[in-house]
Amino acid sequence: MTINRLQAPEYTADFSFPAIAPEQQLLANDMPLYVINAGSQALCKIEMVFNAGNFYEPSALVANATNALLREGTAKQSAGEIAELLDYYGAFLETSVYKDKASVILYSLNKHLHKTLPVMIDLMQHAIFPEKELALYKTNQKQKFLVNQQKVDFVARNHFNAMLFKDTPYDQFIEAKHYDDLSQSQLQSFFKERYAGNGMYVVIAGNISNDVLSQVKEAFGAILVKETLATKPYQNNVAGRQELLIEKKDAMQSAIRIGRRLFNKNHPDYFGMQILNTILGGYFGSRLMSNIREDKGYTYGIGSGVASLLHDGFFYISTEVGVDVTTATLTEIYKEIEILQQSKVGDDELNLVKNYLLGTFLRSVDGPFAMSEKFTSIKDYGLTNEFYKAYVNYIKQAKADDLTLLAQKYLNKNELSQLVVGKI
Amino acid sequence: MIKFERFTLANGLKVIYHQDKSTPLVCMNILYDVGARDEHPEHTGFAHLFEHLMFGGSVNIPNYDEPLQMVGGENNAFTNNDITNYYLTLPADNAETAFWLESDRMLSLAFTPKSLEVQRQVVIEEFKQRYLNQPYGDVWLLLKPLAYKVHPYQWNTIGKEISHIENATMEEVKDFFKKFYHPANAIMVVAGNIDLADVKLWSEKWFGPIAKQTKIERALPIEPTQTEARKLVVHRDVPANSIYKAWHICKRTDKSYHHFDLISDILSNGKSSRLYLSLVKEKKLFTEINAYVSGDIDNGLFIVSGKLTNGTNVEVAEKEIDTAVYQFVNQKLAENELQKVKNKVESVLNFSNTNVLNKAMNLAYYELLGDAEMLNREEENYANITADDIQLTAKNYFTENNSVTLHYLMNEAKA
Repeated sequence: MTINRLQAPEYTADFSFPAIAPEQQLLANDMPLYVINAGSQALCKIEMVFNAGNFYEPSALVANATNALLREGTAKQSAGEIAELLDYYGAFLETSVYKDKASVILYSLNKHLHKTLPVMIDLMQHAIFPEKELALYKTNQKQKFLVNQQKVDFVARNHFNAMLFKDTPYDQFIEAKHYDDLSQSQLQSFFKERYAGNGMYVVIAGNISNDVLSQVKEAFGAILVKETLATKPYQNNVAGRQELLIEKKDAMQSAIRIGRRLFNKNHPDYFGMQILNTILGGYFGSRLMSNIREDKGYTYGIGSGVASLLHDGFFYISTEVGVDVTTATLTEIYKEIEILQQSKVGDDELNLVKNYLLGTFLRSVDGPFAMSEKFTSIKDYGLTNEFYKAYVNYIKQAKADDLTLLAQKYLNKNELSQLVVGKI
Repeated sequence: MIKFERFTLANGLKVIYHQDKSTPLVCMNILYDVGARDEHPEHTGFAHLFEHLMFGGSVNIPNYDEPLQMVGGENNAFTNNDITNYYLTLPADNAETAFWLESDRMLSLAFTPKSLEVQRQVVIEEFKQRYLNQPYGDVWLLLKPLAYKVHPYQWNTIGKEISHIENATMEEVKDFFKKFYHPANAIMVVAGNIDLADVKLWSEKWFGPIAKQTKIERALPIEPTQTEARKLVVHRDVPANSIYKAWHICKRTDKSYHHFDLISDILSNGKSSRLYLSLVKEKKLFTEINAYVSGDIDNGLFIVSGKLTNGTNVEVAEKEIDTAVYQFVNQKLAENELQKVKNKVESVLNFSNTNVLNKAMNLAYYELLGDAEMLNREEENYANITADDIQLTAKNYFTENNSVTLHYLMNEAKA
């Protein structure tokens, strides 16, 4: 067989995507339950989602500490008993806090669910936040924070968020003292207001047998459900350009952040900005990677992103570069942005990015766990699978001219803030 | 149970096929049997640098990433002491592109001077970002040469020092390729929504024509048995004292390996683990502490490492680590505790099999260890371990003379 290695095999970009449309059930107490039944292994992922993100916390770290300490003791079980039981049955309990929401995920083999699920149900209703567990949390997390403070990347993330979101509920600038300031009563009242059946929902994904489903329905259906508390007022303003240099004398690399406040998934320009961002810094072949890593070798990695918040959003570029090339990198970043504003993206590049994004989307909906993530990431925005359909259609039809306009509209240097941690 | 088929091409390329109809994707994982342990002691970091160069274009395809992105695919790779592993995922309809791309870089690279120039620089920045510009970043640069005096595990995958990377020449790059990048030195796994007939057809079509080469048998120096405890104390600008204590253990395929894996789980996996309960929660000597096995193919390390709470005496803390580790020698494990970590292993194995890329990577790795089928026996291997097995293994390896300790301390001024 003679083959022509110069010729790529035939390919298609016409993929078929599964719908992100879990089956919805209303439990006896009116709590919504969403079911994604797929997968061959007899196991499941049960996620509880609460309106308990940093947005709602009265002072920095309260949301994080409340979420982390949910598992450290309830009226019925000590922290040690909870840990022992979950470990014994090979279950994993993952607690996370985001800007808007908080979540508790239980990963369990189906055959052990009757042991592991009651633990989860108990802690999200009856967590007590014992003093001694809180004291341990404060000491250990504070040390972790102090270690992180020596990492330019961490310092940059902390400061950059504060630069963009100063004086809004999304401003969560962390200092060591915030760990000292945490108190049991703060956590208990945050728990009472934001967890314990307040405006929560449940998503269950995996190999959901009838037995698993009935256990879940019974357990969650028996919880006393309360109303969601009103959200906070929020003003989405875009601040002008700020520049900040935080010097680290002995740094070998500088961390760079450039970005601005933007908008969220509900905005008509959201899809377009996804594509524009991908071209600029959203994948390995992006312009920033090609120029700053693959052409100049200034960095191990550079990327950009568009992040959505319930009431806001932001765009950012982030990298760590050698201190001697920090200034040169800044120049190149702005140059790449200007090129996007001034010249149309070529057909080949646009076509490649479209196919890449479609493939990425296909990967992101592969399997029940991935689908459940795709679901929770739109649910709070009031969006459904129609959003993903529209996304795919937008990508297929996107025009280079639209992207140039978006670059001109949203990536002006005088609206982009810049932070360098390290040396210039 | 992961079902798979195996066949070998005439040029020696091993191919493993696993079908998973539940995914719309296909994964290709190619493991090259070369790692940092195969490097020359004066030219370390080379296997990893080479991994970067594998993305710098091949003989017929000037850019590796673009055609893959064009068909909706994504890829990455990693290098460790033992192997260099390349993997990609793409929509099932476009699977042939993977065969085309990967076969071309197995055939030959473009070897452009620009690619070497730039990737050398990128790797140096990676060296800084991950090892030098991070608190505790140089721990492994210190600990490995302390543990290994003869065996190449004495250096890290990133290399001993930046100068080794700076000095790499194109001639060395070409030699390295010739020696290690050929069909008989690779294991390819194709997994996902694809038929066996296609895998056979495209393997023959794209990889079949690559010339056969003889695989070089490795002859690495054997690390002599350590006869005296080793210890190093360093001071750095860090906010907390820390201890790293390691014991030499068996190779990956020895059955004792599983025993160490369970011991590490008992010590530190989960909030009910021994070290967390006694040293973090109860005695408050550490803010975090972990036990783990290095997982190397040749004789590896069992490591306990932790950061101390402010004001804790380092010697006292180390004593506590010793007590916890040597307890496995002195005292037989209770059935209940053994069952707990076995249950955890069962769960981890099951969850890891939900992902097609994981399955592909695991099949390749176990095939390298001797037989991909070993992956399916893992659950049983762990289930059969007894408390006596664990105690015997602990007796054989957990001695002070077999240990290596690093005290990584705050600068005096800060203490």
